[in-house]
Amino acid sequence: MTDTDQLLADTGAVRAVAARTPAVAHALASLGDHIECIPEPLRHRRPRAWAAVAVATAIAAVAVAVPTGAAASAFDWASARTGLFGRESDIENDASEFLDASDQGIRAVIERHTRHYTLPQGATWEPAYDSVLTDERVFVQERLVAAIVARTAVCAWEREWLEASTADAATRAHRAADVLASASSWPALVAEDPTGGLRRHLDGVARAAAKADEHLVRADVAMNCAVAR
Amino acid sequence: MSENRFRGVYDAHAADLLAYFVRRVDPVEDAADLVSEVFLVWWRRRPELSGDEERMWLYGVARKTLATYERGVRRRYRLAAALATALRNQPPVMIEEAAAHVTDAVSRLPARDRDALLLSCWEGLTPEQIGAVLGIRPGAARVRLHRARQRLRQLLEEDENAVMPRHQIKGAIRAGTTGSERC
Repeated sequence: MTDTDQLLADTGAVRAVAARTPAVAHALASLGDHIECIPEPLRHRRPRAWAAVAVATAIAAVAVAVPTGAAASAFDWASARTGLFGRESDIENDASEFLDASDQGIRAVIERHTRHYTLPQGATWEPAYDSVLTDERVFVQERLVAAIVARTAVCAWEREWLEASTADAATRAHRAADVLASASSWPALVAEDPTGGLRRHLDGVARAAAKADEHLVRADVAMNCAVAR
Repeated sequence: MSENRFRGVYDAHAADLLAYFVRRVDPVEDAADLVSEVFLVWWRRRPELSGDEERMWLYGVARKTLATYERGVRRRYRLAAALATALRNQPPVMIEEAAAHVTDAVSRLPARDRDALLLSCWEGLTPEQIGAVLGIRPGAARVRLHRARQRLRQLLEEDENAVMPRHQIKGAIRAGTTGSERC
């Protein structure tokens, strides 16, 4: 090693000493503990069709219906709080707090969002609970919970439309088609779809339903409702 | 599985990456945010790499993260606050005058040459590894290292106000012509 090399290496070594003390090592290990808890679940828990979607406008239309009459949850959502917050600059995250999806308190959050929608007769919100709740310690943000609930409603109405069409039940089919036509403006889905890709997709499904074209509706159920049954 | 894998990767490389940033940024506590950024990128993308490839991939992300930082983009991570505090509380680093002179000359090298030289001298990477980090062939990495030493020699020669002891200046200048395979 030459003199210059040695001087350079020594300089680097001296500076790096700051990264080797016990206090820094402890803080560094803690940082790893926190990082491994955060983004992974958001990616894995996002339904496939949403994962590739990115940015665009926000629309402030309200979802389908009114309260379903569900009783207030017995769970306190506060127990699911983590004290960890996302960053605005992340596509996947917003700046809101992460919630622990393994904590039963997350049920209260889900239940609160289900109140914005009504489901077809016979359908339940269980798919939404199944999609969010986990046995492992997984963190999600409320925006994603809201989107999962909304997507569960879309899937329920798509199935309703398919069943009604097969049964030749025109009134049910029209009602389902009307609900599907409004889905692309539901705030929870708009917030999850900044580029508008999901909105365009849902509009396409709604147009197919209005034209009595089952193909696209069935395709969407098969592709995006595997979790949200 | 992913969490275990993350932990393995993090434990294997976090200290080295922190050192990478500590050597290059001022104030030193900014290194906390930068090392966070690198592992958040890894965590989101989870590259299917292993061993040395993984290490080089991380250095590649670190280099781009540093470039963003140098353009003035500062991100603050709450998660890194404790680490930033720990770094801030370390005693100030004292650099010898002669070493400071050399590093000042290095800072005036073109970025591409400087990157190659410092990855060699500070991270101890081989030309093959430097090539992987910079996205160039090993032969091209060797050329950059050689060119970096030549330019560094020129800068040291041109520096009429050098405060280094004369024998060290001569040594430094000689370094540009002899070249070292290791650094």
